Amino acid sequence: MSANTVMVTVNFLSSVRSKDVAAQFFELFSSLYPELRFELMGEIPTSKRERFDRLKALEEWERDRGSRGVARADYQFEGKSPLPFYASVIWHGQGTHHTWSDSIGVQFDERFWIGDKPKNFTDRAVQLLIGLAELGSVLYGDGAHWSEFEEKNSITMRLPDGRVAREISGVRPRKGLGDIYWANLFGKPYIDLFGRENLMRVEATRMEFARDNVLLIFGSGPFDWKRTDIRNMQEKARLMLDRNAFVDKSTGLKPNLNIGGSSGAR
Amino acid sequence: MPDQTGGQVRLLVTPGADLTPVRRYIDLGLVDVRIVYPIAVLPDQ
Repeated sequence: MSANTVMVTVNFLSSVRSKDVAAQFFELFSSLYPELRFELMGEIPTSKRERFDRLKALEEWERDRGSRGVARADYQFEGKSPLPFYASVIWHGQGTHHTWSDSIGVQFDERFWIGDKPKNFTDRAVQLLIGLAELGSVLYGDGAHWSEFEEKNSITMRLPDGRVAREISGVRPRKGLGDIYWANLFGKPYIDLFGRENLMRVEATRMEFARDNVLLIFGSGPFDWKRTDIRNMQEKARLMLDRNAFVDKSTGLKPNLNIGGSSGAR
Repeated sequence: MPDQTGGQVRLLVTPGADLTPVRRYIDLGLVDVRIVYPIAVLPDQ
């Protein structure tokens, strides 16, 4: 895998732990990317991989890999040709927590976007985000090149021994958001928080409606975030939405929205 | 592997380390990554 990837992720309020959701995901992926084939699969935290098998993949998708009575799974499907790509599902036992949310994400090597590679990768990534939103009740989703995520979610600090460190730290979608990225998918909790009319007024390059969700796109692709005009547009959107939903850039303080409440997943 | 009880996990990595395997965890706020540079100046962005 190249050092940089473009990642598309959707976090759900509902559970994605089912063969049905898995089957829908693979159907969606193969319809959007008919030229890409998964070859390997295995648990994310380990390096152990086995050959991808569609039927077995459905079993593995919903298999509990938790411990001490906590249900959870982190599983990944990988392809290598013509360039590396990963799809992963991370789910948790519904109703047993109020911190995590289930999610499905796909990472593509950035070189898919460079040169004479398979076409329309930007459009297809947007369609993937919209398609993923069909697989459950959406909390929040995003699409970004890793450099954008890292730039917007890292702080630089000086350690007591004089060395310099950079810390990259994401935000749990039930708690809030790191920033505005290339692609931003807001589910009902965030639409309610920001206000639908307020969201409609945000100046974005593109706005789409995916079921009851709102998708805001800034720039013509995941590499445009470095352009001053796009950064300004994103910053304006962030200020307009605000509602203490984002990390405070001046203090580094993370939001604490507690979406879903103390009773756990809805 | 993220802490299942909800605690934050911090990984210390060296500059240039491939973060791809843990990017999903970072993105979800499950894992923080601290990259420690041996000199007092960060490389150019």
